[in-house]
Amino acid sequence: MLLDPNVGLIIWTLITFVFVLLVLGKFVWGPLTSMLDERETSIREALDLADKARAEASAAAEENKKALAEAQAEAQAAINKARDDAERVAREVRERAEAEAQQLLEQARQTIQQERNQALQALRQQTAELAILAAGQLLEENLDSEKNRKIVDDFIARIPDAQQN
Amino acid sequence: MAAAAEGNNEGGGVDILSHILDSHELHLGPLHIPLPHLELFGIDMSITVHLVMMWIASLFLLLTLISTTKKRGLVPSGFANAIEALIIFIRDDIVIPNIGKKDTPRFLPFLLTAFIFILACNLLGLIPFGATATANINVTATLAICSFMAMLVGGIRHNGFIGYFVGLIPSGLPLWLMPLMIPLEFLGLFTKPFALAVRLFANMTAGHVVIISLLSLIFVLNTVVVAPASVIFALAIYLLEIFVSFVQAYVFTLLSAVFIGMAIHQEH
Repeated sequence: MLLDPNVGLIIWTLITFVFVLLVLGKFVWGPLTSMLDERETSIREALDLADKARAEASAAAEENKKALAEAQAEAQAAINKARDDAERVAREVRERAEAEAQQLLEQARQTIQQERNQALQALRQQTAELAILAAGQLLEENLDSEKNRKIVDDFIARIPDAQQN
Repeated sequence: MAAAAEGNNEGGGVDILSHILDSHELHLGPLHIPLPHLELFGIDMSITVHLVMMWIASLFLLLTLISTTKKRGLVPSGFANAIEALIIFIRDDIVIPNIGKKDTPRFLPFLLTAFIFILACNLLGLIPFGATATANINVTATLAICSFMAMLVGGIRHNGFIGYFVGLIPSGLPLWLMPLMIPLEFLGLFTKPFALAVRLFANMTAGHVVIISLLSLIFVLNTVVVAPASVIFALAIYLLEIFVSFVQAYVFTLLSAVFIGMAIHQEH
């Protein structure tokens, strides 16, 4: 009794089971498994995306750090260059001013020397002439003119040396 | 099951089998509903109690499962979570290890349906007025035949028609063993679904027989003294039956997957 075959029930079972299989397969297992796959891929993608974003962020931070360091180095270089330039310009200006001053001083000294020489020359001549004139007027009668002039010239020639010394 | 108490006949004995066997009358307590007799092409296609139970189980499955897919979205909620957990469990722990990732989409719907259908039929036998369709050898044989078809389809698709049947015989055997091995392996082809059918049938029948027997003791001995013990033991067996319902659905699915995997990957 327990093992009695029942072909009708076998056929009915087959129909029922296949029907359930087809309907569930189409409306339940299909959508649910595809949704599971979809979710798995979306989670994986989200994780990948997060990883990529993290990597990008760290790369950007690294770049920023590098750029900052570069900017600092550039600024330092610019400051150094400006300081060097300023020092160089200041030195040049000072040197030129000193040189000019030196030159002016030299010129002035030369001019003074020249003026002095001229003045001395003129004074010598005038002194000679005045002396001759005075001596001529004083000693016009008794003195040989040529011999006396020589004596006077010698005397005059000795005067500036004595004055200069 | 609930009708077990009425199961005693005049002789003082109890007709245990009548509670397990298929019948043409649906028993809802005192209400006895006759089911129609049908005959198609000379085959008795009568609607029986077990068939009605299968239909109830199927209807329940279709309605509940389809309703879970209505609110679709990537974030699951409520009952859909449980169904998803079931799908993931069967897919990742039963089907993929045995059949392989490549062929899983082809056989997953069958194995999922087999699992949930058997489970629903098993559990339906445990509620009052229910009957266990899976305690009927015809039903389990049909399910086993479906499983057998899946094995053949998998094996033949993967290895070719001739390749599959040749591959049944392990390679490297001496020639003189062939007269022994060929019939043996051919028989082995059919023992697998036979084992599936008998295992499910026997397990589902046995539990019910035990429960009814325990309850029948009260009527056989005609005393209420044994009633507490009977009821406690029957309750314990009933709880065991709930567990067995899940285990047998799982075992049927697992072994089907193993057999399909063996048919596909013959060298293992």
